[in-house]
Amino acid sequence: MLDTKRPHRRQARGALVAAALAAAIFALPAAASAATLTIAATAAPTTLDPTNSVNGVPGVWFPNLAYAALIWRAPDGQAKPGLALDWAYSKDRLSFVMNLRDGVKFSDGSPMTAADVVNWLKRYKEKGSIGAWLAKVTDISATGPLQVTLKLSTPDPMLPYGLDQGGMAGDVVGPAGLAHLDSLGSTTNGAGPYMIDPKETILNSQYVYVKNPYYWDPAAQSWDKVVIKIISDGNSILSALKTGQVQVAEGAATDADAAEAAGLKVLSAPSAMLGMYIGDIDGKIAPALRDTRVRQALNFAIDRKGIADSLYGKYGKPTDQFVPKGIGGYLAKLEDFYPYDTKKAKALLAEAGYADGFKFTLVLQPAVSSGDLMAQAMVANWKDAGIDVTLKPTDSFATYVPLMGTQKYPATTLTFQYSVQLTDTQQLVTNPALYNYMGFTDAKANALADAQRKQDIDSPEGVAAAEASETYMVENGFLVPVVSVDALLFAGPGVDGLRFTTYPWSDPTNWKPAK
Amino acid sequence: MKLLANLASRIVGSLVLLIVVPTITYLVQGVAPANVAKGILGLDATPERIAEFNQRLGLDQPLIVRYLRWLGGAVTGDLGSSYTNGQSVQHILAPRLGVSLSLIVGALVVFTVVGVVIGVLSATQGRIVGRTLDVVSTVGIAVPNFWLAVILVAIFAVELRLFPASGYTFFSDSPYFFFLALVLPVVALAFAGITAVAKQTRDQMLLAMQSPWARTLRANGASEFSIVYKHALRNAAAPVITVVGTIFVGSLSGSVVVENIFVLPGLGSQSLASALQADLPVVQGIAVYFTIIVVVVNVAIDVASTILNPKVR
Repeated sequence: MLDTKRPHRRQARGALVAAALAAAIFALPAAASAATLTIAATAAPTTLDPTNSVNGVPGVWFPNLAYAALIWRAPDGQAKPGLALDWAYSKDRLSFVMNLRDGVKFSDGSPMTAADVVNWLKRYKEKGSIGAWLAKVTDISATGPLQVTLKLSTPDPMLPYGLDQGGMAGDVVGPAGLAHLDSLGSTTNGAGPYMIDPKETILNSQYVYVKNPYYWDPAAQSWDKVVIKIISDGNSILSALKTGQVQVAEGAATDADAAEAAGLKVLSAPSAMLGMYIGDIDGKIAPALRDTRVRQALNFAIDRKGIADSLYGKYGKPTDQFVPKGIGGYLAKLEDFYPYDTKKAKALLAEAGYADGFKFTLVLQPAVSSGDLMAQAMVANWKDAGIDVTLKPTDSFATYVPLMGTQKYPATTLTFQYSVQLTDTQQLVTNPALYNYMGFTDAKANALADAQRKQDIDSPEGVAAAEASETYMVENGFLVPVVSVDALLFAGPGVDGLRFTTYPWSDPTNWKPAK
Repeated sequence: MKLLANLASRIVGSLVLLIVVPTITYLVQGVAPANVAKGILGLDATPERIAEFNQRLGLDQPLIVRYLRWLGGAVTGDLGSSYTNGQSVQHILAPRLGVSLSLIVGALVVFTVVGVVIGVLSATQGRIVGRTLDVVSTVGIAVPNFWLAVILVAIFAVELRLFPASGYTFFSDSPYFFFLALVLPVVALAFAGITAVAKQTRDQMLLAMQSPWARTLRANGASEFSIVYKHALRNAAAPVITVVGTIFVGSLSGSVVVENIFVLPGLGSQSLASALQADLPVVQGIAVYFTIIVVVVNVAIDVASTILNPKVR
């Protein structure tokens, strides 16, 4: 007897499966809602506390959403009012007065006073991750209900940069946050357009920001919610963009072609110089490095174009300088100052008394883009010139930083984020300087930095002083710059206002829903 | 009674493991070269700031003192606080435990059920299916889960748009999207396990079906269905369960990779981030959680094996 029921059962089962599949297809959220901006960063911040936040992209995304800065640097580079409406140096440039915006409230509803700004700046000066911004500040005081004055030991034109949204020293934290410092690692208490939603946030995976109900300019709150997802894998980022799960993502040069092929927007701007930092300028560990000719030889021996082309493609350019075109201090005449010339390198070594070459160890800084390969190529270049370099890898900054602190290694690879030229001078070759872990002192470098500090950064005199510092650093081979790399953003449809510049670093507070 | 005594001795052994593994993890981390203070405070941190940081977190104390303090807290359920953001370790890991469990338990169910079904079928359906399974098993073991994950995403998420490419939805938010988001990660994690379980099941089933008692049953007129599904499958179960346990423990490390590719906020992705940040209390907490999972699974396997296999009993 035929089982006449079976075909019907099969059909019914088939229909159910088809319905389930259809539901899966049509119910799949193709993209976040228009009021939600979802972006992807490749690394999570160690903390949400702006005191210890890191700069660059994506580092500034996390504090900038929740903390308005005293000075806002517009995408065109102009300094505009932020929490401070105006600011000015005194005639002798030894005091800096800021007049604060009236009616500002932190995300817990408490009003911002001059005393709050003073307390924050004092904390940042003492504990801030870039303490150098306020290193020359000797006194911070409220000189009016809405006025704060900073006294300086010596002129410092960098304050407007330190206090903008990239510098982060101006990311004022409210009194409630300062009273409960432990809370700042995972929650926010700023006067920015958004605030962290601790319930939705899963640290190291997903950071959810919602509107700050007390923000002074509601029109600038373009999104109901901003979600930053941490996606370390490049393929996963592309898949999330292609399927609309994220709208904007930090990109990698290696994935740029695939992103373009998938119809995504690829935005880029020079972001950092990669190369080698020489800490042992005094020759305490490797005596040869004390000689300028030896350092010049190290520079001449490098095939920058070969390394840039093979490792970084169209998003990396060979460079001999510390700032890119468009930043004061850049000089066209310094491009290719050290052409790839092994013979010249050998001749300089012989002239310096090192005809048989010399040896040193180079520590690999973590997180340098293709840093291992770049260093291996440099080692091969130097070997051709008779210089024997051993590489010492490190796995994380937690091991790298103390290793450099032992002062046993003469040099390190580095990624140096571009901002303004004085940052390079002050963080690389003066004493003290962030990178100067061996404590060398070069009187002329210090004098050139002092000359820069007496001028406004963007004034013609400031630019001329920056060019003098840049020239001195390049000509004397303080570092071996190799390649200028671009930072990239990948974007799908749905977001306007994306603009990627070297500085300020692009951040979501400027992005808007597409009309 | 003997069963209970057996179980009690396993549980005592497991408790020892619960002490030993976190102890080793703590001590190894303690002597690692990472300098937490400098790593977190940065290149230009002053000695005063480093000293203050170390004093605040108790890092200026000898390793053994720190360990005993941690152990004292752990016994009372306090696993300490993150060095980087100050949150309690339990608070950080609690939502992530559910994510990881849904992934690895999902994979466990899939590779066990699918593996056993395929294994039984190949044992009973003749040579061709068996040979095919041999080949597929080899491929299954050889295919790395990260590669499979990428392929699955490319086909089923990007091209066909059947499943999300990444991300996780909590069950309480939407049961439907919870299951949908888990399909591809579970398949990626389970695939190698399916083939291993299938092969083990087939081999054990064939062994059982060719054994003298199976011949006796056949001679007594027992049906083939009864021999296969009632007797042989039960005999094959114990070794298969042991393999399932081994694969499950192995899948914990596989989950780290899968969680990162599918951007699941589980223990695996947290362990990677915390290790890079030298956030030792969180790494230690994850070690404790993973140890508990392994211990629970081992005990469960022992119990299941004991119940299923009279010889073990």
